[in-house]
Amino acid sequence: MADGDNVSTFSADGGQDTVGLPRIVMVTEGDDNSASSPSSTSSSEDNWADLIKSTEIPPEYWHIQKLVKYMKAGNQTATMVALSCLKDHDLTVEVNQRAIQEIGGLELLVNLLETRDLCCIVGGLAVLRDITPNMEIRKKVTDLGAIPLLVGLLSDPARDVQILAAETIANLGKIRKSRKFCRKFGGLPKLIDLLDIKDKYLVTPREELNQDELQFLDIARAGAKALWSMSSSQRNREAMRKYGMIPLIARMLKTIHLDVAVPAVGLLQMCANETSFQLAIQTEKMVKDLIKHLANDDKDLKTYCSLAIFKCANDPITRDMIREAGALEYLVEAAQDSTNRANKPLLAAVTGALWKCANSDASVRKLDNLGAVPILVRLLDDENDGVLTNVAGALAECAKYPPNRDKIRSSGGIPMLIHHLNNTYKPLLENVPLVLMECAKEQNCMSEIDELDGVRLVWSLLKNDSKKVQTNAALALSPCVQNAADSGEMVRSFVGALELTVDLLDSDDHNVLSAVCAAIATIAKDNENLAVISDHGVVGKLSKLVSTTDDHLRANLGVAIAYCCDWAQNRQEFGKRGAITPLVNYMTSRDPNVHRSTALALYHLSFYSVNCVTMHAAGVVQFLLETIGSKDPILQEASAGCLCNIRKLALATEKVKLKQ
Amino acid sequence: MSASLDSNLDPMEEIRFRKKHGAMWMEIQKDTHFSFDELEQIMVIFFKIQKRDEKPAASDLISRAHFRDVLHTGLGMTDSYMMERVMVALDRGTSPFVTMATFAKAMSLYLRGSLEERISYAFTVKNQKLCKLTWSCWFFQSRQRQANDWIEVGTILYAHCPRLTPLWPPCKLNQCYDLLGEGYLRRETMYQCMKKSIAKASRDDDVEEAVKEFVDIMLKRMDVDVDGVINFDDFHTSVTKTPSLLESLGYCLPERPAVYAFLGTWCPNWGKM
Repeated sequence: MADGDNVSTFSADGGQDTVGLPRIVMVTEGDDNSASSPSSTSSSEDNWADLIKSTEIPPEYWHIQKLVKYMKAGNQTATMVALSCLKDHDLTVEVNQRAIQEIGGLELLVNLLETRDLCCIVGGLAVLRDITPNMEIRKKVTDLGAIPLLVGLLSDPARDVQILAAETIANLGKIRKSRKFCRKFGGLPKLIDLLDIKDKYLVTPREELNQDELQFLDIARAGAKALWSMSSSQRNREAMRKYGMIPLIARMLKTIHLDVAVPAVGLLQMCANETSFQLAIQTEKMVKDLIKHLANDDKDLKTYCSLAIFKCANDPITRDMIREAGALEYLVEAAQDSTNRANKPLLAAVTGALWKCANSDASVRKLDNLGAVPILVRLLDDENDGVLTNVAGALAECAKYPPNRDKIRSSGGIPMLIHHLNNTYKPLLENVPLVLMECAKEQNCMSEIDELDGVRLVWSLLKNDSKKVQTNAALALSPCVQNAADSGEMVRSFVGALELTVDLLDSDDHNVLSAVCAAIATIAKDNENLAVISDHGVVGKLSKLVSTTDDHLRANLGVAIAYCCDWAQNRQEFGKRGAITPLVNYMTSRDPNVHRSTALALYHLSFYSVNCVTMHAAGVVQFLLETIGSKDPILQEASAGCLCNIRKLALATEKVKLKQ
Repeated sequence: MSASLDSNLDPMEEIRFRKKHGAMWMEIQKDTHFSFDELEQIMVIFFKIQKRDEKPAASDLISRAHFRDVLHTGLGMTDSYMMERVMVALDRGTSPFVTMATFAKAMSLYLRGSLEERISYAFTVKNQKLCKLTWSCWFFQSRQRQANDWIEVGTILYAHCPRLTPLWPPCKLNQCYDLLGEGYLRRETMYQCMKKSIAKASRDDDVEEAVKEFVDIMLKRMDVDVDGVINFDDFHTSVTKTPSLLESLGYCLPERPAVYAFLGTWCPNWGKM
């Protein structure tokens, strides 16, 4: 069997040795220079050049080319007939599309758009609409300058011309260049005009509408398809908003017709990438209609509705509206439906919507009522990364509510989650530690995580280059270290873990730093580990960070410093490195978390006398006198303790002075 | 009777005209797609055409040349070759005048004709044999306007052209514009029609061959019962399935923009294009 051959010959000389036995036939590939078969979708120029030489081209190819030749040489009548005959062939097949392209049919069709003859325009557009799904033809047609012509035809009084032009633009819009041209040639306002349709037609069933009214629906549908295609460009979305598309979409969403709803919702979810549209979904009361379409059985419609919800649920008010409209029921139902497992885009969209919607207490409670947690855990064995990311995110939100943590464990979620820690898909790695973080707060889950070596895997995520992954992994470490059985030993058993953690303090991302400080604070509670990290130079690194103004970082930094003090010379070193004065400055912040952690730090630092002097000189007393009266018990205690130490030092000094 | 319909005309004159022919119009209206009011408007247009005729023969006739002019400029039917056959198809007759009834029926067909009507009309336009003999007979007939002579003419024609179907009685000559009574479109007919449609694209192009091939393609496309010719049923079936083939042998109907432009000048409701 030689390479590149695909004309097979049949040779029967394999042997008819013995009568009565089955005849052995050898089928070999003959030699021929032709390359891929006509129906291949990867069509490069050489393939086609070779193919034309071979006899494998079907007769339709030549017939189509002949028809195009007649169009070139003929007048309107001949063109009309040729176009009608052309439409008889299935123009969605690659061979036929190529046939038209290679004889110069595309130039001819685009030229036809410029004529004044209505029948020829309609015929030409019908053909163009059928062949433009082909990638190469799309490019060629755009390069031939079809877009300005099509945009011009959108204003034609003949309505079927408008419909065909819009549908052709929808096909061409898959290329970036076409989208740009459409915008530049003023196509967007015209397309938006097509969406303008009376409410009455949108809500009346098709049987009750007359011919005229049905055509209105077709026009609106074609306009929506074209705009959906156009909305892939960010600048187009912006322009569409400016041209007033939002109220028109809001109206279109009320439709009962499926074929109109799908492009309308598709358009909406594409535009929902912009925050202005997300807000508009809220203000124009589109949520109820969206949820009504979510309930529809059609899978595509469900996918687009879920995507729209996913994108706009960042805003809390919208989130509440979505919940009140009853979206969660439909979403959970879709997630549960086993026939949807194969439909990955649908599943990813539905789980994504669940994730974003779960970001509120009321939602989590509702999801509980619907039994969402076991359903989500079941989805953890999916192959698709997008689905997994969303499911993990949703579980992370649900696990914030303590009873859910056990539900996750009893549904067998922990092993699967830990398994996914080995994945390399970054968004997934961002979400899984968050689930583990919540679960680690519960004893049974923690022991299971420990058994399955989960803590080590989370720790290794600190090596990942994505900042978000590092942050979330470090956040997960704190409860893990805190609640694990024999955590000191466990931590020490991870080779290089502590060094890695301390090294992360060199990062420049504040979120990473805050999370790492929180982790260090927990680690440092074990004395031996504190020794190890002190060896790795944690004091110096922490001191370098004190000058920050970020409150979130300040809060965590203070706690880290506090617990790092209790070893050897750390206290003195903090003092020597000038960490004290900036710390006192933290007390000017308004954030109560900052106050608490600073007080803790100062309390632990104040056990060294020189630090007390520095603190006092920096004017800490006035702050502490205020915080002593606070309602927060930790803050109160720490402030009191700190003041106590300062006073003790002062008294001792007095005594020495008196003795002398 | 409603008030004056046209501001260009003297209202008395107009109203007199309308009163005179009102009864006839009631009859005509039944065969058209117009309401009585709309038909009145059409007839007022007829009246205005008549007024501009140099030698009006009677108050219910307009000259054929004038009518052709109106079709040319008002409805954009500019193909002179086709217009000959259109005139024959419209009023089946040979008189140099066009009656009100014909005018109304023509307008009804062009402006609001259903697909069925158009199919019959188009087929008869195309189905006119261009034999020299028949043309000469046609001219001969055009001078004889009385019905008695039809029978004589018919007999002469029948004698000359044996391909006439025996079912076709000579006295009904003025009803059938299918001059040789063939009832179908043959290759030659189609070739004649399409001859002008394909131009010489390059030096080594054989236009005749190309047209012959094209006619073959059309025949294959439209001949449903595969008998080598396109009879009325073939034509009817093909066009009902693919309406764009209606004018496949030549544009014999006005274009849509022209129709709506014309309608828009006098009719209050012309719908969406």
